[in-house]
Amino acid sequence: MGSERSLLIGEVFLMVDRLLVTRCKQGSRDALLRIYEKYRDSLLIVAIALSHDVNLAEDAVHDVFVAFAQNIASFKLTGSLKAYLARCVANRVRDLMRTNRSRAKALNSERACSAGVDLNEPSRLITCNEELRLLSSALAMLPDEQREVIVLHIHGQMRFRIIAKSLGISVNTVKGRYRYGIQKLRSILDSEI
Amino acid sequence: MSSAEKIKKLFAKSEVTVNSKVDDRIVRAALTALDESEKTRSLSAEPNIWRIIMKSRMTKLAAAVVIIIAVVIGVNQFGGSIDITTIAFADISEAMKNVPWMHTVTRGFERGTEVTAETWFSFEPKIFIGKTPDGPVVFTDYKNHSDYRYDPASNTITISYLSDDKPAIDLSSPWSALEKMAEVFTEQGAEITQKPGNFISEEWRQLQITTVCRSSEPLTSCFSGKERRCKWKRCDGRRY
Repeated sequence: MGSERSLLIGEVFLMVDRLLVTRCKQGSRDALLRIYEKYRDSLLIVAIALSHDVNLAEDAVHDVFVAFAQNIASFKLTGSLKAYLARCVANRVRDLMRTNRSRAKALNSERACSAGVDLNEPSRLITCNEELRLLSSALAMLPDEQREVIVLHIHGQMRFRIIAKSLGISVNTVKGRYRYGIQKLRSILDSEI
Repeated sequence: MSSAEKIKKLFAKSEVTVNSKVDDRIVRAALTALDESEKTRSLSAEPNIWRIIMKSRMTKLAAAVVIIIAVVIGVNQFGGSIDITTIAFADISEAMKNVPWMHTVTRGFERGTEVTAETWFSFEPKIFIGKTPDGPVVFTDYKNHSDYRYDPASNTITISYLSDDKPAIDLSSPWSALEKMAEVFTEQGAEITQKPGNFISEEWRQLQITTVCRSSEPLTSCFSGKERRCKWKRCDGRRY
């Protein structure tokens, strides 16, 4: 009964997203705003958890929404919009980290979760709560591959199979990365949680 | 509680506080991108007689002559024969206001073979139907925001919602539609001659517009360009 209800709720969520995407395709600015408002926080959390850098996270979410709006005419929603956007954000974060070579700097910098204090860049004002700071710091200690799988699976609600497909690796590799990552996180967070 | 559950809980409790300036920056950029996308889309996908005609093999006309024959149904307001070469567009637009339907046939030649595109216009309610020789058939009902496209290649009908009820061409009267046709061809460097077509009945009138591209180039070059990018090249080579 409970699982049926969950399925129904999931279907309703999917239908709402499909409707928003359809309206967006028809040029509805309101629909785009609603998608942004609905998934902004979640996508920022994905980006921060992956990059440990709020500035980079903001840029990644910005780029993903702009690209989403630009290509909306040819966009086809085949599954969860949240998972799709999370995957886009993860890809964008990876690209930005690679091109900016900012990861090493970000991991030890003050930018992590506290860009709001940077008065020289007033447009970059995102702050994280204590849980996200803790999580982001712990995830930063994991290899990129393990971090990405954990974030996409737990927060992006993506199945291992989908993650494997999007990364071009086997499902077993994804599961292995997840398992090792969780073990490491446990040892890192044991004293904190 | 397992490690994974603890981490899930941590994710669930994670929150970000976003300043409105961040929202402004992202939303503005995304909306601008959407508007740009919409502009491109409306130029490339909105029902438009010109797009239908241009998308067809008419775009590849080797001959520089296109003849548009408009059959206007219910023109008894004219009260007798007219010679439209001697009458200004505006003079008879009022008389044609109540015409319910107009059927146009656009004919041209492609490497010596005649090709034809047909369109039907209803002015109240505003409906547009277009049929190209071997392309899709389009039925657009502006009042009900619905657009139906039949693709003979895949044998499918695609139904879509029109967000904007404003027709791509002016459907206020048959004449405004014909005037628009004339205007577009003139912009392409064509010279236009008009004459009444065959008299069919009291309620059916046929008009004929013949366009001849002024430049030495055939019409094919007038309408060349990358359609997907919504840029058409004029006869003079400029893009618009």
